[in-house]
Amino acid sequence: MSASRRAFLKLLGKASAAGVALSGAGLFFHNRDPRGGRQEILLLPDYRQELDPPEVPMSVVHHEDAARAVDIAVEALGGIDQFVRPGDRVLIKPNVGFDRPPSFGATTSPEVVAAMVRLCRKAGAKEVWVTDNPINNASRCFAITGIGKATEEAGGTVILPQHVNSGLISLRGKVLSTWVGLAGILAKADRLIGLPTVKDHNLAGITVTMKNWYGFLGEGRNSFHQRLPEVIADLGAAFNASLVVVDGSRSLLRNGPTGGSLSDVTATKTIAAGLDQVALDAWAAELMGRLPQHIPSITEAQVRGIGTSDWRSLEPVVVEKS
Amino acid sequence: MSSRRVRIVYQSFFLMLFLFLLTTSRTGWIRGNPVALFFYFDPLLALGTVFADLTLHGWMILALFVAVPTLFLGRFFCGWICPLGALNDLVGRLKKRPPREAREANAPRKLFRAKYYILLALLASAFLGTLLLGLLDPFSLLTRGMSQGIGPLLALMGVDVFSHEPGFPAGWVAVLLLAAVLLGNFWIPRLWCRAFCPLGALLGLLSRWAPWGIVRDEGSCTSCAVCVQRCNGAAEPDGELRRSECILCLNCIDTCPPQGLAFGRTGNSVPERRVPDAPGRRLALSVLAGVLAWPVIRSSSPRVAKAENRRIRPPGALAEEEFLARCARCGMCVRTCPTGVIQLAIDEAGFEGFWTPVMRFDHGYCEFTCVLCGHVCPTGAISALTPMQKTDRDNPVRIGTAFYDRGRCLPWAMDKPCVVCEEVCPVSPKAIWTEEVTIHDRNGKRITLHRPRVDPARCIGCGICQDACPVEDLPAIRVSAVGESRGKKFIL
Repeated sequence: MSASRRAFLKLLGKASAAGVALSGAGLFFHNRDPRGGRQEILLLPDYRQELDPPEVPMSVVHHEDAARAVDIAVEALGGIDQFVRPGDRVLIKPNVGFDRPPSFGATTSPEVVAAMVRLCRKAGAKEVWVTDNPINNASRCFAITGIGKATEEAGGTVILPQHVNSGLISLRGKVLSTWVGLAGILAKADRLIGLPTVKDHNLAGITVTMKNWYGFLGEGRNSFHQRLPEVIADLGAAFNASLVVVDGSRSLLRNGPTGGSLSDVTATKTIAAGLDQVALDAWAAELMGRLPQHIPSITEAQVRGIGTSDWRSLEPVVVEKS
Repeated sequence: MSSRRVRIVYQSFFLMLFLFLLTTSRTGWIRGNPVALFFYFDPLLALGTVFADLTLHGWMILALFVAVPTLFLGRFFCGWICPLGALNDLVGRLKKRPPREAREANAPRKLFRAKYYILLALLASAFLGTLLLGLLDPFSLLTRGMSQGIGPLLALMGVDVFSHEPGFPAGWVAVLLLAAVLLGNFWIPRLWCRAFCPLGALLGLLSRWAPWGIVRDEGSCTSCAVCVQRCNGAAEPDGELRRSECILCLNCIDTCPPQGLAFGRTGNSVPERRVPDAPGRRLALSVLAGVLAWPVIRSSSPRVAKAENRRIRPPGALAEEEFLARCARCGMCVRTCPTGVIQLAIDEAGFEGFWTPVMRFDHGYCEFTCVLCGHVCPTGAISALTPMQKTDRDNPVRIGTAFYDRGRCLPWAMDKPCVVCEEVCPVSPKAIWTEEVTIHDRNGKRITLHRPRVDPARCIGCGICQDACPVEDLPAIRVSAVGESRGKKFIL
């Protein structure tokens, strides 16, 4: 074989290898989707699956001590083991929306968050994550509300939104089909527990259980207000939580959802637990002295069959302690 | 250990300390760290604020701990402490120079007089009322360049150095200046320190009576000029020994073959030059240049006495005239702001206000209870408020006032429900209130809307409404400087 022939074959070999690599890369990155996007879309799981529905669907506990009231309310539904199994990764979603101290009633009480984290730990949860994508700066919100410290002390982990992989979430709602949000952590979790607080809201009337899920979504959510009752009902339908505990230890009656003055807050000293988000919202509306039928999102959700606004029909267990 | 090694240990320590403080200057990491520490020890800013506003603010008194020892020892600060000097040494080491080239690179040049002209012109403008010297102050330069250059890189790598998306409209200018300073070392080692640094020039002037310094034993000197090869200050250790240029790197002592150089008492027989070789007439001209330039700079900038639409200052900022005299343009407030609303001005405050902080509500909003910017400000251009003072119910600190653009606001212009602005308004009672109206749409259908308005008595100009407005590109509610607290004589 002549030297020039060998050189030629060497070149041919290299060119062919490069050609194969280049074609492989082209095929690897090729996208046939005519929309051009290649982002994965998270289908929200039903976080209740494999769990039996509790025998008692709702409980209401009047108690001075909010943490104790959480224990009693969950116990009344049959205990935490009904909702969290050993080895579960639990995601708790309190309202950490604003950088206000807890006494201003704009966020869930830290002792309620701590009580819930402890219950999950007791049930044998492998991970207990607490997250929210707040309106104000997230680090400040978790610090000033006391929820960050309370979570860590009770054995949970604070997940700041900037540390979560955000991605598209399929909500399959009437208005919200897909939206960007904290997809990473929602996909990892086996259980989802809502921990809203009870607040006034100018446009929506109230913001409690269903609207609390707003904190899982990101960018562009400021356009929700143009069709707010439908969006809130969409959220209620999309997030099938394993359990919801409503923190009514304080209610923000005016100037919501931010508050800002202690005179806007009333100590209502009540905790409610259950699975029917519409019933819990209706109950909270009454706690604030409002009629559920005057809250457009409750009416919308009721019509769609997401739950019942007649919370008394669920025959909740009511515990009175003073 | 050679004296050079000891110096490198010092330089590394101060560079790491500077970067540590800059990195931790963030919500949640700051934990009471004196993040502006280096600025307190900066005699240039100290003298500048005394010239401009007749005040030496708070901890800036510590600058005496650098200025007074310099009177005795010379520019030890440049060689041993300055973090920008350390970075310059580091970059300078990247270029290997053969002996002859090294001697040429470290020889004195006329260019090195420039720093004295710069210093005098900037001090003259400070005396007339603007602290423009912050533009070239080494700590300010490094703070701006590092936080807006390396910061976004770290953020990209997943380190949470900012608690907001890194977005800095003036970042590229700050980074270019720092890059130019560092790249200058490839031409001449420590080009910045030798030729341009106004702090170096000031310390050089303070060195003129230094009773201690490098001394040469004329008897043992063989004029081999090995000392020049490694002289970091281009101070002519083989010749006239320029006290104003020597930064006490001590390389000459380490390298002198007959060990004829030492650190000791000065002022005897050695030929030495105690004042910069800049001609007095040119020094007078540079003062004149500063004096002549200042009225032009001020008169071509927005009016100082009135609120200006885009010149919105951080909460607690002093009235504009005092602010311009105090602000070091260091960018510590920009680096520390948790939402990114504080940005270095490009043209918002005119030429005089270049690189001063302004509120850019397209990048964020002011957190209701946050007061960090005032606490990291070294010169007190932004007052260190408490959250209670800032949010006082009857007399809050007002950044400005929000105005609706009814031609763009959805409930006003498009008959669509919205009022996100009202939802996020943090004051109680809310500054944004809504009126319920029932109207008919184009098909005659009745719709009920909440139409928002601003109550100027309650609005503090935090801009969270503007930040949250769904009309993204030109929000339908915008903050302007009207009503800012600092316009009045008394803020606290």
